[in-house]
Amino acid sequence: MNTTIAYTVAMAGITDTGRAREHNEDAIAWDESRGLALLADGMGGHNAGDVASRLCIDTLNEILLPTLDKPLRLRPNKHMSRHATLARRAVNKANTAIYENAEANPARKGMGTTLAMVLFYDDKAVVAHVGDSRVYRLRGRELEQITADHSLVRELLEKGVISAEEAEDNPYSHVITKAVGVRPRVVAEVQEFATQPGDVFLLCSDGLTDLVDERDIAEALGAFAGHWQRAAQHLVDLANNHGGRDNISVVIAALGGPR
Amino acid sequence: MPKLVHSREGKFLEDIPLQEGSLLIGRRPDCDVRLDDETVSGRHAIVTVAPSAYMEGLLDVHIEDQNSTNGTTVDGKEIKRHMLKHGEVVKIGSHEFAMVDEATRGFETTTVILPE
Repeated sequence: MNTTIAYTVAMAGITDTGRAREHNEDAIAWDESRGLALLADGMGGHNAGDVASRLCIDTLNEILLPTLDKPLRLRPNKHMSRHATLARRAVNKANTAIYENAEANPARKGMGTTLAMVLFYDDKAVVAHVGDSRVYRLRGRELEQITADHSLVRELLEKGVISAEEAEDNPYSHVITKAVGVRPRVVAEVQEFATQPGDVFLLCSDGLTDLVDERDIAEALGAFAGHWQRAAQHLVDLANNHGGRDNISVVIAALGGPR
Repeated sequence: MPKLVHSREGKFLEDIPLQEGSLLIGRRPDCDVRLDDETVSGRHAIVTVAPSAYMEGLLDVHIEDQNSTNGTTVDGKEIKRHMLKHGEVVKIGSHEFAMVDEATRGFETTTVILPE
């Protein structure tokens, strides 16, 4: 039980196959009492994607849930808190688990997954991600994307090689530059934020954000505030109403008042 | 090599291979793809094919409407300038051009990792 979290925590989530795919290769999990939310969007031939995403989530849960029950023993370094270090190390272990699974099962070669993670402690949130699954934060009425996609298109946009318009809808939109499980090591991008009562974090796969714009996402979170399972369902419905071209997953992690 | 599959009212007309360079589509006789259709402008749209800005070894294909009278659509949506993906269908007058690009075909449905 992670009693260091400063605010009450409510979480909800849904993962949906969508309307176009035969299988769901996304995986989600959350634990309110420990303040952990996870989302993974798997990829790989022969449905290895669901092996990768599931293995990622399971490995992270195996490492993090028992660890979060006790005071952390990790040595903090001057750049990263104990919790941020824990997150990064856990992702690396998940990476190894997937990579080794693929080595042992040639049909799964090259499988991998994106990852979005939110971990609360004290009055902080550690946000870790790999790939193009995202974490947004709704604070008041403002929805902010707090993770930058590890995607080819975003990186070219940042370098000025392509324009915002060109970044919009091109064949390479789903090419990512980092994934969990594809190489022997991965370094997750880890950020840490101070949290405020009422902050709502949304983890989602691109199956949502490719079809639903941020204004509608913000509106849904506002309209269903406090009823997070319904909010999650509504977001999935919006994506399906716009075609449901991919698997759709959302996890909502909302902070209430002081504990 | 990417190509455009040219059809009209459901009837296949030709395959247009897309190589580096540009193709002018329209009603005028000097067009590379000459269309016999009164709703098509003289110089209606240009398809440009260039080495990919995204990935080495691939080609980027753009279509740009040349201020035509009746416009150019991609999958039913009117465009000014658009980068074509495998599977998209351009409509000019009663003519359709379906984009076929085996190289980026997988990219549409799967998230692909860029190799180092």
